Amino acid sequence: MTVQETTVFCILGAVLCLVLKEYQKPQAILLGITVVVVVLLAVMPQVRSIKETASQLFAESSLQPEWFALICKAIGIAWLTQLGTDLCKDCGENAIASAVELCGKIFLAVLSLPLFVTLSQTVLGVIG
Amino acid sequence: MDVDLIFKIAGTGIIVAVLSIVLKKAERDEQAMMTVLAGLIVVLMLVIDQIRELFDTVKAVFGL
Repeated sequence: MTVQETTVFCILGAVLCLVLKEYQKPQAILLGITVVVVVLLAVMPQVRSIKETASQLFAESSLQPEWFALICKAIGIAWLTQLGTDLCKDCGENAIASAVELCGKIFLAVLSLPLFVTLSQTVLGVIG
Repeated sequence: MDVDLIFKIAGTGIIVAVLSIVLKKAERDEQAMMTVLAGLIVVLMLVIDQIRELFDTVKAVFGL
């Protein structure tokens, strides 16, 4: 899969959405969701290879390996939240979109809480 | 990439739109609404598989 293919695919999807929006708005939104999902699915192998390279680089550094897993989880949550927010906004539901966003923020906060505790303990250890 | 799926969904949408217009002109509004609903459900069934696949892949890649 190349960048040309994805671009053409997205443009095709956008034009079809435009045609459908005239007659059947819900179907147009579903078509939009499908285009987004299919393109993201097609790009996932590349994301996987980026992640593998990054994890190798991380393993060579002296940082703890579980931190990398934490960063990956945070990226995944941010990604899915962004996707959900944008799709809800496409449907014209801004309230649901901000609810999705808020949920993502809360999950991210919960995820990074142990890290924050470790950091504050280290700081307290240095001070006191 | 699944170009067929996009055409399938767009085709379903256009067919449902035409059917709904014809049925509305024939003053069968309830059947027109049912057609729209059926088309929506069919497309939803197609989309839901893809969404599940994407979520599974994201789960596997990012270790959620």
